[in-house]
This record gives sequence, structure tokens and C-alpha cells, in this order.
Amino acid sequence: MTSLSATDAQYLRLSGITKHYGGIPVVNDVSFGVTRGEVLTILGPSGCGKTTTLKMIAGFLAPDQGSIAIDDKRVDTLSSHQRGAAMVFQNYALFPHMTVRRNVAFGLRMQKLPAAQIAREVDEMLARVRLDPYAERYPKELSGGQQQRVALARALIIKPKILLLDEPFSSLDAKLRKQLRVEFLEVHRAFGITSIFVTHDLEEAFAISDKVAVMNGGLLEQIGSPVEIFARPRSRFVADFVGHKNLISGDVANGVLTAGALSMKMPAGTANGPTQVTVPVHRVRISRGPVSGDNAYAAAVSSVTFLGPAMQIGLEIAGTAFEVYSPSTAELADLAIGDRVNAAWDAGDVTAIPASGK
Amino acid sequence: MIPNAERLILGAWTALICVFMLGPLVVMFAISVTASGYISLPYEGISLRWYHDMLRQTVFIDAAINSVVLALQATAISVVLGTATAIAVTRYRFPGRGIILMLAGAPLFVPLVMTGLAILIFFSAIGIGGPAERLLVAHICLTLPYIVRMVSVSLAGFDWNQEAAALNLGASRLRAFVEVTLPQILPGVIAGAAFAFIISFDDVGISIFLTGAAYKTLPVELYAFAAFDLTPMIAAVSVAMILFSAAFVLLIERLFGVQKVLAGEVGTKNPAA
Ligand SMILES: Nc1ncnc2c1ncn2[C@@H]1O[C@H](COP(=O)(O)OP(=O)(O)OP(=O)(O)O)[C@@H](O)[C@H]1O
Ligand SMILES: [Mg+2]
Repeated sequence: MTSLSATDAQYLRLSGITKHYGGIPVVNDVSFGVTRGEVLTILGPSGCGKTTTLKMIAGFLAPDQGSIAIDDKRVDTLSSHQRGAAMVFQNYALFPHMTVRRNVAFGLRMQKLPAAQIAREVDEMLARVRLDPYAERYPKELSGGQQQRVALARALIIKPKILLLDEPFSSLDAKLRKQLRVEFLEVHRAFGITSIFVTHDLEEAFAISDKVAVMNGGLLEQIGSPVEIFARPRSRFVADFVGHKNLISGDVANGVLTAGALSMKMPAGTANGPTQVTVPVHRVRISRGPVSGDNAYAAAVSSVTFLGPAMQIGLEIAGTAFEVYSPSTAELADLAIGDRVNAAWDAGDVTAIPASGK
Repeated sequence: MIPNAERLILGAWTALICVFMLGPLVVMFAISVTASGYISLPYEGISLRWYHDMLRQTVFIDAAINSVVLALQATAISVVLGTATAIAVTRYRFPGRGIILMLAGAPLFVPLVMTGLAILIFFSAIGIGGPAERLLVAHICLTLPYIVRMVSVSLAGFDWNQEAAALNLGASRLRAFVEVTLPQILPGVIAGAAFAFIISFDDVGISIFLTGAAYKTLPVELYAFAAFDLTPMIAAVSVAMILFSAAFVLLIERLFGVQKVLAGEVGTKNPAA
């Protein structure tokens, strides 16, 4: 796709979606658009309304307010299968009494297609997701990863416009998850589909998404590319959730933030007044020798955790505790609590978090 | 493997169970083939005269037909109501759920005589329905708990997202139920239906209040008959009833496999098959 039409940029559109349970809004005025062909991840802690949002898109739940449009057509009054949104469930919800072939054929059988056409399309689909050797097996005779692929094939065969995936890898082990992530992206691209992927796993969200929508307590906190979300969190919650540790509140005057004994240069154009900032854990350079940067300090090491390729180091800088991630260089190999090091970061890496954010 | 003492106790226990469970059946069978005119073991010779007699008794034939028809009707209605009830109470949490569960189970705990009397009084008070209708209502009450029980058990742990998935893939609600849910709860439905049928077919406690002179079920007819005329024909009718029940269980066994039905394996798959 070289250029996007207006509809392609808003291929799926949620406008002011709200859902209450027992008077409590569990999804609260959520609006966002999804571009055709992209993977959007809904990320957030348990109970924040991810599944509820997905169910409203899928048509299993009616929103109390708001509208949902797919490909410029309002769908929130249509039944589930008329929307062109196929769902892959968290525990797959495969039909245990049907073989892999019958599971995958289900959607086509419901369309009352001729048997020969169903057989041909199912065979093709099974081959594409490399399930052909397992066609006559039952779900319980498959591994978790294979079951996951059956669920994917069963949803894809009805040629949906949108694929909805609710934590599809959550019951699998870490290694398999990573492998299936790659497989999912291959399938996503090969089918040219638009996917909404729900997860509460930060790394998973970053690894597969074109866009991440962070939810908290039923509210959409922020939506953007993984890099944007990580580098420029726009609320305290998002900063915490994506792993920011160094959140500092102080006062900005003439481009310098003062918080107790600590002062640091801010990006050009930062307004004066009380401000909350984050210093990203991966942007702090440390060394026993001199380090350069807009903000350079002498620091005392308060903790060292070796994580393999990286080290998690606690620092005390001008009376403020910091946590930084640094590559496990030879120089830092024998770093110990109490050591004195130099630490520095650039003004441009400091990100102000808007006060309206919680 | 098993120590001697334990083996002895186990053996004695098994023997006792056999004697008490099967003994009466054997005695009943023996009496039914006696050649003598009164209830006795067949010392005076073996004959099928009481079976002949039985077949000439139109009251028994009519009552047997009543019983079979009633049991089939009650079972059919109970299966539909009971399955729907089981699904509602397993799947949803709603106000009144506890009451429905209690009502569905009540006939199991309330003495049959009380249920029978209550239904009699109720129907007399509102003055509708003859014995057949009253009995049908009573037998639905009687059999419903078994269906609700058995179906609820087979629904335990059922993943309702399967139905959502079916709807999402284009199935109607009915289609989703028939293609996805029903095959998986079929063992419970069949087992419940089998229980229901036999319980209805055997019942005396409730039925005795509700049958009329013109409409009796077989167990009630048998009971009435035994009260004033104790001939070996009673035994013949009893044996016939037992054989009928056994044939019914055998039929279920042939169609579905009783073992599998009770173990909850029908409808889910059997990899070897
Ligand atoms: N049927 C329901 N009745 C009442 N409350 C519900 C119902 N379904 C969900 N909730 C509540 O709505 C909130 C959001 O639920 P939801 O399932 O969308 O969360 P989630 O983000 O998917 O969480 P998780 O990561 O644990 O799956 C939760 O607080 C939940 O308790
Ligand atoms: Mg969820």
C-alpha cells in the first residue's frame, strides 16, 4: 500500500465507546482509529477493560454509548459475524469434538458453501499455517502452539477484515510465545489483514505492534507507536507501565528543573512552573571515567543487578535515587555497591509528563 | 496382593451385596414360573401359565401402555426443560437463580407422597386436567431434577466462548447450540433421560394419588392388584417390568455405551475410533 485513503487510515474506528457493569464504567469513552493493515495492541493491566473493548468490537457485547465503524460502515448494530471481525480467543475456544479440519471448516459451513469448495479452501488454509499433517487430529491431541494455529486458521478462513486476538499466547511458555509472535506477524502480513491484539505483556506489545493503545481503568491513556509510547509517555501511569523508574517532580525555571539538590537541563522550549519529568532508564550513560552529556553528575552506586546483556544499576545522584539500565561492558563488570561513577544524559532525553496525567 | 483378612472381608461384602441385590430378583423369577396356584417356589413344576395369564389381563396391558407413553412424554419434556434450566443456571448468574436451583432439586428431597398429594390438591382446586395430564405434570416434576443434575455435571467447566466463537463464525444461536454445545453435553442429556425414563416408569409414590379408575400406570395397577389378589402373576408382571427396564438400559448401551455415558465420554471423541 503506497498511499492511504482516508478510510484506510480509519479502517476500524471506535468513537466514544462506553460500557458499564453494575453502574461502574469498565470502558470509559474510548476512541481510536486503526489503520488498514496494521497491528494495534491494546495494552494494560488486568481488569482495565481490554477484553470488554474487544468483545464490543467483535459484537459479543453492546456498548452503552458510542459507535464502531469498520471500513466506513457502522457495525455496532450488526450481529457478530456480519461485522467482518473474527476473534481468536484467549484459550482458543476450539470445538473439542471436531477435528482440526472440521474446526477450520466451521465458518465456511455456516456460509453453506459447496462441500468441494470448503474442502479446497480448508486444505489451502491448513497448508498455509502448516497444520496439514494434523488435519484429522482433535484439539486435545495438539500442542498449545498447534492449537493456537488452529484458532488462527479458523478465524482467518472467513476472510475477515479485522482479526481480533485476546491474549492469544498467554497460556504458552516464554520461548514458544516469542516464536509464535514471529509466526503471527508472518501470517498477519501474508493475509494483509488488520489486527487488534490484546495483551498485558509489555515486551509482546512492543515487539509486534505498529501502534500501542495503553488502557487503564477503562480509559485510553495513550496511543502511539511503541517508540513513542516508550520514549514519550504522556501520563504517569503509562510511564510506570512501560518501565520508567526515574519520575521526578520539580520546578522549571529558564530551562532548568530543580528538585531538591538536583538540577537538570530540560529540552529547549520547556515552560516554566511545576513539572514532572522522566529520565528514561536506558538513556543514562555511566562510566568510571568521564562521561559527557547536557546533564552530568557524580553518582554513588546503591545496587547492582546483573541481567546478562544489561545491568540494572541503582544510583544516588544529588540525594535522588535513580535506576538505570546499562550494557554489561567490561568496565562495569566488577561494579559494586558504594562505588563512585559518573553519570550523564542529554536534555533532549528528559521527557515532561503532562500534569493532567495521573 | 491384598492381605488375606482384607480379601475375606471384601469377598463377604461382595457376596452380601449379590444376595441382597440379586436375591429378590432370582426369587421373583422363580415364583413367576411356578406351576402352582399360589405364591411359592416351583416345587410342583415349572410353567409359563402366569405369563399367559398376564397377557390376557387387559388391565395390565393398558396400564403398561399408559406407563410407557407417560414415561416417554415426561422424559421428552423434562429433557428440554431440564437442559434449558441446567444451561441457564450454569452459564448465568441472575436474581432468582438460587430459587430455580432449589425448585428444580426439590422433588429429590421432598417425600414423593407429599409431592403427589400437593399436585392432587392443586389440580382439584383449579379443576383442570384429567389423571393423564396430572400424572404428566407430576412425572415432569419427578424427573426434572435428574436431567438438571446430569446436564449440569456435563456442563461443568464448559468453555462458553465456544458458543461465542460459533456465532462469530456465522452460526445462528440454534446452530451454535446444536453443533457446538449439544454434542458435548450429550452424555449428560442421555444419562439424565435414561434415569428420567426409568424413574417415571417405576414410580408408585406420586402416581398412586393421581391415577384414576380409568387411568392407571403399571406399577400402580400392580400395587392395587397385589393388595387383594396375591397370585404368582404379580411376579410375572414384575419380571416383565424388570426385563423391560433391562432391555431399555441395554438399548442405551448399544446406542451410546452406558459406561461411556456415565463416564461422560459420548460426544467428545474417542481417538481410537
Ligand atoms: N460480565 C461482567 N459483569 C460484571 N463485571 C464485569 C463483567 N465482565 C468484566 N467485568 C469487569 O470489567 C472490568 C474489565 O474486564 P475485562 O475482562 O475487560 O478486563 P481485561 O482488561 O481483559 O483483564 P485481563 O487482563 O485480566 O483479561 C473488570 O473489572 C471486570 O471485573
Ligand atoms: Mg481479558
